[in-house]
Amino acid sequence: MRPVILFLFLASLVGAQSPSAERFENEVRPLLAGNCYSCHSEKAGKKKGGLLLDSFEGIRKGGRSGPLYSAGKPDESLLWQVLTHEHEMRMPPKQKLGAGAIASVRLWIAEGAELPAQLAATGEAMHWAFQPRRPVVAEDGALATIDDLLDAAQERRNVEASPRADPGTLLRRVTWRLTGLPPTRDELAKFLADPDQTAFTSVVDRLLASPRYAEQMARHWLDLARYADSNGADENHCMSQAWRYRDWVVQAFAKDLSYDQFLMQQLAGDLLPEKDSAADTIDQHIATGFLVLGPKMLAEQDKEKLKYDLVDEQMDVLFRTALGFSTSCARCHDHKFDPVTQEDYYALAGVFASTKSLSHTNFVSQWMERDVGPRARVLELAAWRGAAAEAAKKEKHAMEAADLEARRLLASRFADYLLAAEKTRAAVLTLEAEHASNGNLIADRSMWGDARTVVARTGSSGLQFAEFRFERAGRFELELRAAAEESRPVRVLLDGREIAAAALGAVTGSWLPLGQRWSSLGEVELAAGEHVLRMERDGSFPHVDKLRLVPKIDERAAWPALTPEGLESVALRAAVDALEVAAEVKEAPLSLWVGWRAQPEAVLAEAHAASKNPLAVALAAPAPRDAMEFAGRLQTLGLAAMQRAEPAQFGFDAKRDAALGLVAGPEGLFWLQAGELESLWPETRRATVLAERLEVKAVQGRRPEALPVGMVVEALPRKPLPVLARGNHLTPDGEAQPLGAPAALSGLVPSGPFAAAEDGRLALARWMIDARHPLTARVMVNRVWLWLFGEGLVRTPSDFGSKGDRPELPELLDTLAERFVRCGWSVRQLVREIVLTEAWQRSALPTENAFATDPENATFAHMRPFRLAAEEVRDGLLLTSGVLDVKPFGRSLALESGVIVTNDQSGNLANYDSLRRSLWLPVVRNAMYEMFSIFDYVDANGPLDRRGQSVQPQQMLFFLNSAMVREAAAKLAEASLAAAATDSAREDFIALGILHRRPLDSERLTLAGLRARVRAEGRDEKAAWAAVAQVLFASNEWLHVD
Amino acid sequence: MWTDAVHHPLASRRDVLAAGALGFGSLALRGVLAAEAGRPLPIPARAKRVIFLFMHGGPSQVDTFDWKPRLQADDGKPFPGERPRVVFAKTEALMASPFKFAQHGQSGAWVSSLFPEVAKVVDHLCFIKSLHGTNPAHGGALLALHTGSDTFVRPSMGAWISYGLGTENKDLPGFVSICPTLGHGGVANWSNAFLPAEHQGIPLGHAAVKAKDVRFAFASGGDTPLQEAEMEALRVLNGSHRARNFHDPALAARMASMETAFRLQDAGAKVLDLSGESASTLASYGVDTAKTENFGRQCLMARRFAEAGVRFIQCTHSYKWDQHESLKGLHTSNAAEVDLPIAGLISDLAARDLLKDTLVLWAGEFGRTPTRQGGMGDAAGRDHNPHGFTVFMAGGGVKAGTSFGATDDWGWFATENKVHVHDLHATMLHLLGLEHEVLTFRHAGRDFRLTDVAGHVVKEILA
Repeated sequence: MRPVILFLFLASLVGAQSPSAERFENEVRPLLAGNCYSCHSEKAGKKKGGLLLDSFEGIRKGGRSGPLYSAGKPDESLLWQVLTHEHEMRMPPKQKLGAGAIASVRLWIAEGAELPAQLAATGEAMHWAFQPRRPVVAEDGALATIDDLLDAAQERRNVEASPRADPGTLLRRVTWRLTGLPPTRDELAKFLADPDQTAFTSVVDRLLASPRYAEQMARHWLDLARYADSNGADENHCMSQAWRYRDWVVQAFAKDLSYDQFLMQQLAGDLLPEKDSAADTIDQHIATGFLVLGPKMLAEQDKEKLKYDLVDEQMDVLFRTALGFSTSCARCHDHKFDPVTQEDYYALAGVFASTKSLSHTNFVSQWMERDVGPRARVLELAAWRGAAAEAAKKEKHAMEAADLEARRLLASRFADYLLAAEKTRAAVLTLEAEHASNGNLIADRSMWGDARTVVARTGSSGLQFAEFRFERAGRFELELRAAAEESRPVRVLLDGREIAAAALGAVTGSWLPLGQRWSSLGEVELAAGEHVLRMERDGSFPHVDKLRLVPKIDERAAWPALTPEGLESVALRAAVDALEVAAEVKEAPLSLWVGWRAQPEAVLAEAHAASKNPLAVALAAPAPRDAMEFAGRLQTLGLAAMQRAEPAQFGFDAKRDAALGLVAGPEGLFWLQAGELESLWPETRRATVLAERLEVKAVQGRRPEALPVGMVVEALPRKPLPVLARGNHLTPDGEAQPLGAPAALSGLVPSGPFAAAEDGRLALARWMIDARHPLTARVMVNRVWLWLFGEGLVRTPSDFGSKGDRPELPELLDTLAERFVRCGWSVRQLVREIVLTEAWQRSALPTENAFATDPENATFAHMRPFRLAAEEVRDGLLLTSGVLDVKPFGRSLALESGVIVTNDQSGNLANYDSLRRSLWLPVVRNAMYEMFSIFDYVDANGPLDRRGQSVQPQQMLFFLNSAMVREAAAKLAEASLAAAATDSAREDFIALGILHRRPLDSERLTLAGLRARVRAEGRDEKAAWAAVAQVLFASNEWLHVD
Repeated sequence: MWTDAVHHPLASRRDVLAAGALGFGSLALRGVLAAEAGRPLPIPARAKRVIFLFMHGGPSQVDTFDWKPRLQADDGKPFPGERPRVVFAKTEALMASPFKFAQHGQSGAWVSSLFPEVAKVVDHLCFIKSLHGTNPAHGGALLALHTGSDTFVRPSMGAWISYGLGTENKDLPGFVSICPTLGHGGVANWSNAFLPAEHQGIPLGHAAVKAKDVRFAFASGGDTPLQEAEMEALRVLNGSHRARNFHDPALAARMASMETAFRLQDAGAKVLDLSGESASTLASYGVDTAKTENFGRQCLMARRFAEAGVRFIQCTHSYKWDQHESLKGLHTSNAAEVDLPIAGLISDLAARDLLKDTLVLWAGEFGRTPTRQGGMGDAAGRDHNPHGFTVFMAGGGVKAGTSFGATDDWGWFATENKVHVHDLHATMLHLLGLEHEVLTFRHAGRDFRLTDVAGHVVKEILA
């Protein structure tokens, strides 16, 4: 402590306001605003007596009655006279001001009637945070240091600061704070051997150079950027490209990208000149993911409202995060507390409305995802995509034409197929999978009703099986129908003998009934008597629907009147299926046929009467004589429907649709999959398709080098917005507002309306990162201070407005901000400067004096203890138990964009089973990882400027019961058994790893007692030591770092 | 973001103790100590707790409780009025309800054939047939119903109630949600948002977990004898650490929270264990029948949580009610899963004299259009309709055996005595002794409420 020197130092400071100007700011201006503006301000549009009081020019000039004051001479000043009602002109006319207020004006004039320097002309921008910085500068021009300013503040308040923390505590503190991880035993030993300031400096430099530092800083920023891997809101879709933004943030901190550029790229990176390397250009674009990451009500059907909500969200996050104030109130009305008018809001909103963040607003909207890279390459890729799409379209059309012709050919023999299928079906043995005679599979009838009931068992381990008993003799083809989205081969046994080791292994496309496919297991020979067919698998089962035994062809001699010549077997098989479905499903296209075969007249009459089946009318009268005629009529209807089934013909025609369903619909007579139909294409059509396929292949061969797909924005033509009355887009009010920055702030950083030639985002970004901007640097240095000290100089880090906290040490905030800007906005240098101060290295234990004189620790006379954040708890457990995987970067949630991560029935698709740092785990909105949420990382829906430090019982349950803690403790126990031979050496090993100190003697006794109890429970040595480790992990000392 | 006082250690020891040492639920509005000292509430509370039976998907009002003879008569005719500006999807002509309606009880309430058991307890119920919101999509409507906002993340009503009333049981959370949905807002529907963390809804499982398998997170899995030994060692270690570090009040709070955690394991397990319930009770909730077992169990747990002093208990019948098609069959099967459990819960609460101070709310996120969607006949369904739908309440100070408000002749728009979702919230808070305009929380520079800047207490339904 250097009290005398400091006092002199402070006396020599320049740059602070004069007392008179301070008084104007603190006392006079508020009373002018409160009592006089209604008649004398531009804001009110009234200039009575020619006097304007909301501009300095007006105050200096006075009104028509002459100047307001004569500096230093209150009695001669008009202002004093009218306020005291001594003059014939009395102000305010109705009610004289209070004596205190009038006294303030007198003092202000007496002290020289000075006005604050360099202030905005608008008279509104007077709140401290909107004023220019007033750094403390010594006579030699150097900026004051943090320690000087804090020492001086402690001096002023008579606070006695705490001494430097002990080396172990200091190493723990600096390692946790800068990297989010604890120090290792080796790092500890090295520092304890030489703990002076020089050694500490080299520890800090080592940590700042570590990739872990960038990850830790990125975690703070990602909280502010409401980073997540899923949309949240109403439709929790995976944002599969969000991770690129996260990785960009980490890279930015790793290379210490200057903070002004860091902001610029996030707001307008897509508009900046391209860099020399494609990778750098791509990075600039990726940074704009910041604007796209927010939660969106994708299913909002009022799409205009959705767009305005999105703009509001973008503005809110940007302004709260980068500038420390919120614009959102002004969406509906002028901001009540801060100088943001509704006009200001829509002038800014125009900037974001002129930005494309949604790729479409169809039924469920979709955020922007596009190719990212140098413009020329993006265009080249787009052109190629166009060509590829065109070629694919042609191929598709050729295939459709071929399919259609094949279907027509089939349909022209509809009646033959129908009658043949009926006979064939009678000879086939079909077994429904759910009618197994034994097994542990579960029947699921929920999908499409009983006819498509499947058996399956998912998500289970252990042996799953189903057995079927039947009687048949002869040679058969054995077929199974199942759906599978992933390969789940099953073993098939017939009468105990394996006939297939891995049947049904093919992926059919989906688990749904539509994905069901038949597959043949080959020929089986059955002796007379009962047989048992068994399917089994160790683990989850495919979704099995049916089993079928089809008599082999040479057995067909035994069949009655076989199929007519020329029928394709693939189509016939489909027809047999269709009849099977129709026998069970009332609404199936052929149900009318099946019903009529069973009960001719009754069925048609009933169907006709109810008119439920539009075909019934056509078929009922006159009543068909026989099956042949009935089948023929169906064929006629189907063919006619096909003639009219051109894709362009939309519109509802129930009869046409029903008739078409007979021949081509799902569960119609020819429900053939694409590949199956292909075998029936006429040759000329096949040639056309092949030619188109060659073209597709040729185009594929010309594919330009790939570019990443990013979640980024794109500029749109400028779209100024009118003010919306009450924020409602249905009630626009007046002219469109020219794009621009809030008027009240633009006095300090001139912007005016943004130039038409420049994109609004670019102009806004330039305005924001102007070195003169009063908020940008202040807000960021305050954040870094908060990250390192656990409390900000302004305690409402995202609210520097008039309702926010007013800093106790504004000179420190301004000096830091000034240095930040002068040092090229380097975050790493700022961090280094702060942690190397005496103040940051102080013990967390307050002096007795500080308890009394500065109970809130506003002068940072001692360190604040902090509770580990959720990620730190997890990463610390993994690192300390030796299993942490520090591999950085890459995708976290291996799902496509648009896949719903959490839905109503199936739970959560995110996977947290990983040993990587928590930063790389998926962040799922509205279903945060349980362990994160228990430790206060609950919500990634909006900017999070500090983590909660709650004390909740679930946290303790996590330490007592979770597998994560138990496994970490077990690993550490194993390591201690291997590393040390005596009890006390093992205690040291574990305690040094967790607490970074050796146990006290009393603690050794407690831990020995614990081990004894564990052994008394009959547990082994490892369990005893694991209990020791678990208890230390669960201790307050681990979770609360000084 | 977090305004609970743990950030300002020296200044806020009392608050820390309230949050931590007492376990769940410190009291914002009145303070634990004041409430325990029996300080009178500003307005008389009729209810002490809420059980919310949430029918996710949107049950149709015109097929359940809102009987519309005109709709039956106009089957197949076009809807004569103006349709909403924003609709979820296109719908066709008017469609009569396929269910039979009849009047029940002394009150003569109309109930369709879907709810034969609920029909037996209608004299306990107070129907609101004019509820309305704005958002016709599930996500927005769920969030609006649960949090009052379909635009921003706001605290759930359960969190507000826990914040306003604190807890009656220090060993259990103030707000639990049994088998909640993870879709359509997920956690945001039971989150504390900016309210202190202890008011967060504690989920028990989720929609994909069977009610019989739910548990409190991490409340089991430990090894009991070992755990006792570990707790003992922790007490000693933390005690001596605390003595060396008097400056950090969070340490004392955490020591106390360890004890709470230990009690929660026990208290939570006891509530979830239904083995002490009689066979007849289990049967009255349908726990003994496959169809009703899952929701019956939820309802029975809700009663047990209510008895244990939890303030807000939500049971979710997840995402079953969204019948864009096949409404007849699927509404029938949905209702069959919940009908007996709901009636069982209400009868049981009444029999145990719990209904007088327990407010039961039955609601979906919206109703359905009187017009047809999807196929014809059995395949027909209805679209979403936030403009007029029916909910019912029971107990907790509402007028039993009554019905309030009405929709138009076809049941699309609320027309008479309209009740907005904000009004429903204001009324619920009022019944709990909380004025919705007074129950505020300062966040980001302004005071927030569950009802934003709207909401009126529906005085007419107060008993």
